Amino acid sequence: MRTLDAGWASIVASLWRERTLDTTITSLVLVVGVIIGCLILAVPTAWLLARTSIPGRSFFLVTAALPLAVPSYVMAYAWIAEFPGMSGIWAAIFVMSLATFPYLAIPLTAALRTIDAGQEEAARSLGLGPWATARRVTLPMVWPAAAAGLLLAALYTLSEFGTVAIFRVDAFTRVIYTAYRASFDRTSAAVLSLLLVLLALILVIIEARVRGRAQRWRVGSGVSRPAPRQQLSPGATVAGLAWLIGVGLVALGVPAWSLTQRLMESRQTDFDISEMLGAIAGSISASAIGAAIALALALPIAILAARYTSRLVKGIEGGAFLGHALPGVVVGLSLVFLTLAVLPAAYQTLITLAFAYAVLFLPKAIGASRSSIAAVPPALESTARSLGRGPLRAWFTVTGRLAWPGIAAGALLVLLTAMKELPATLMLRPTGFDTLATELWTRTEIEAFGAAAPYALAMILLASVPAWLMGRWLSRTPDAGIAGNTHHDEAVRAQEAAYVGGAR
Amino acid sequence: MSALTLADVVIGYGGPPVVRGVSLDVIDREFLAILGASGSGKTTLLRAIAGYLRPTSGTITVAGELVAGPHTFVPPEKRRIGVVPQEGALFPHLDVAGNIAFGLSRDKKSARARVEQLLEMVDLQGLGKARPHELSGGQQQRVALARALAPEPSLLLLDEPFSSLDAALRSEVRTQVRTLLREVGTTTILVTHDQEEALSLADRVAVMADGLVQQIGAPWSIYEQPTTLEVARFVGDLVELPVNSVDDSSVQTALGPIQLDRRGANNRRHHTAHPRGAPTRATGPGCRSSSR
Repeated sequence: MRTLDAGWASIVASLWRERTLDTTITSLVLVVGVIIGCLILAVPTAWLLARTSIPGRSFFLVTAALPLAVPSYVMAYAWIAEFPGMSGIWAAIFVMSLATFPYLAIPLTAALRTIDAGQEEAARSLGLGPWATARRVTLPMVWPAAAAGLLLAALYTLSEFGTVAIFRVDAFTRVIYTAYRASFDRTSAAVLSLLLVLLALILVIIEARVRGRAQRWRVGSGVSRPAPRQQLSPGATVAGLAWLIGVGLVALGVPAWSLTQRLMESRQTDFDISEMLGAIAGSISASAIGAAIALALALPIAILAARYTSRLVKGIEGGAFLGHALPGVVVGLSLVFLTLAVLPAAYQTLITLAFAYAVLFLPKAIGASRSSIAAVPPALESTARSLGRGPLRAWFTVTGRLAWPGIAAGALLVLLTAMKELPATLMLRPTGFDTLATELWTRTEIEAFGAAAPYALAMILLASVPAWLMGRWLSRTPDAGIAGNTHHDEAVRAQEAAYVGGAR
Repeated sequence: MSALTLADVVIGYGGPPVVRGVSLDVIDREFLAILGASGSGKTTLLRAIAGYLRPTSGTITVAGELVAGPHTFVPPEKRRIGVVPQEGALFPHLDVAGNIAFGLSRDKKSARARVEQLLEMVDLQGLGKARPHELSGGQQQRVALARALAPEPSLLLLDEPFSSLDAALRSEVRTQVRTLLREVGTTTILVTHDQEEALSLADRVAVMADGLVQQIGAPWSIYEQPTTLEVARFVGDLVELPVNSVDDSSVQTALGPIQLDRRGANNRRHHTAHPRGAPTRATGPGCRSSSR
């Protein structure tokens, strides 16, 4: 809308500026680099964890998932605080790969673990060697899971602002933010935003097409049997362990070490506890309102999506899921324009900020509530109806009552994710209003790494809450009679946790 | 008075109708089985009777009251129809007593007494505090039955309630339920795809196929005198013999002449017999004839 206001001439002008092309190339290189980085990190890890006898598998499964609990710009901060010379696109690719490879590693581990051994054995008996089997049988079967994981990593990278800004890479998010902040160059910011959303949409479409064609069904009945684990020789075991430990050290050890160092320093610098408390209060208030709005918007969609599958419902759900592809910087910018144009009184108010959170994280709220509502058999609700409860009472006393852990988890997830959101907060926050994320940001920007450390730690603690909660919720066996005795493999559970807890 | 009357009920989910015009009269205190293969429309019909979905056309009358018609639709909670769904569908967040009391009024005292009475009736005394997942499959079914019976429904619908039980348990629970329902005297409709179940439990059996009731009658008449070859094939194993020639009272087959049953219709083209009778003579036991 804002783009059109500016008139076609200036749109075309800013589209064809050399800078725009540079930005696009930079962002694409970043995304492709991170995808390759994820593949390098995740594929050996997943294979080791899913298909070999390597010791300590459940421990390494946790360390492979844990980078998700570190906001990527906190990770970037930790690296640059330890190695101040880091900057540029290679640094960004490196850190973003470390931050996002779990999106691929976890579903891939789960897929490798759960696909039926029968097909692979059949391929071997038909004369294919191990590599040919992997390429022609295993890869096509794990492809849907892998593609979904790579899409998440790519979208995450495309919309990431903090890391890119810390390493001074001129990708879309940073250029948009600078254009908006420094010069209030509205047209160019709006045009670039549209371009960014377009890129994200293209990614989503590519993934949907790739996955759609790769849709796999298990033909025939019978219990599927996981593939046997390969017995590793002592030498291979050592090499495998070295790999897993190495990845863990780089992804988690270095940031942890750097952060501890900075924390020690910060004890010497002045640390203002009241400022910290103010930031926590700011984070919580804005995020809580955002979570409430998201829940109110998500519940009707989730109920419809869980119970009905008409085209309209799919459309509504799909529209809401596009939020996954919507970077915070774009939502921030569009709400700035919208409030200024339609409701100037709402410009830079808490409500607008909360609304931005709700829009950004709506998919999380929908996802969590939908799966838990869908897990309640409709027969329970209709039985309640036949026993004399009206539709609303039947929903609340049966379906709502049984699904509430998932619904609450969704709201909590929005709350905790919103606390980490940086660019939208920077653009929409009321003057003088600070959150943990913005405090960390302002300190990192002036390279006050020591002073930033407490905020970084607070962010990590906050970010690990959803991971921990998801783990608990998912590990608790669902009420018997709902899911029956479906046995959940660890890896499958971790995959669910990653999807529920994932993305941004 | 009829407990339930269906008049020309048609039900569709947007596409071609699944139930294509069913008329049925269920007598008070009767046990009727609706027997059909999957896809025959029997479960859809049951859901319409319960009020879970609305017929496209036709009327449903329960105990003299119109509950579904062109301008009428009574929601399930106002129909006083008890349902025992497949797999029981007990509320997992409530204990057994809570499940049974779910449809009772809020009056704690009378509800508790009623729950005790029902627990005793389904032979689960002392299990009121148990959680559904702690019960065996058969016990769960009995709780589901008690829950459906608690509000004293005028009509009880059983939706394949025994199919989730293993074979040994199935016949035991089946007998228990049949005995109990005879004592209580509730009009019951059982939907099932299991011929043996329908024929052994019900007072009358309605065979459904292609969204239509193909035949309705006492179990023996369905079994002995199926009116179509499809019904005959469905209710038991068959030996089908080509007929060489037909006269007034018998047909000629490769196994020799077979006496015709005059109770059936004319113009027979098939003569059917169950293999267990292994009849070589037309008048042997287990011999059935069918016609088109």
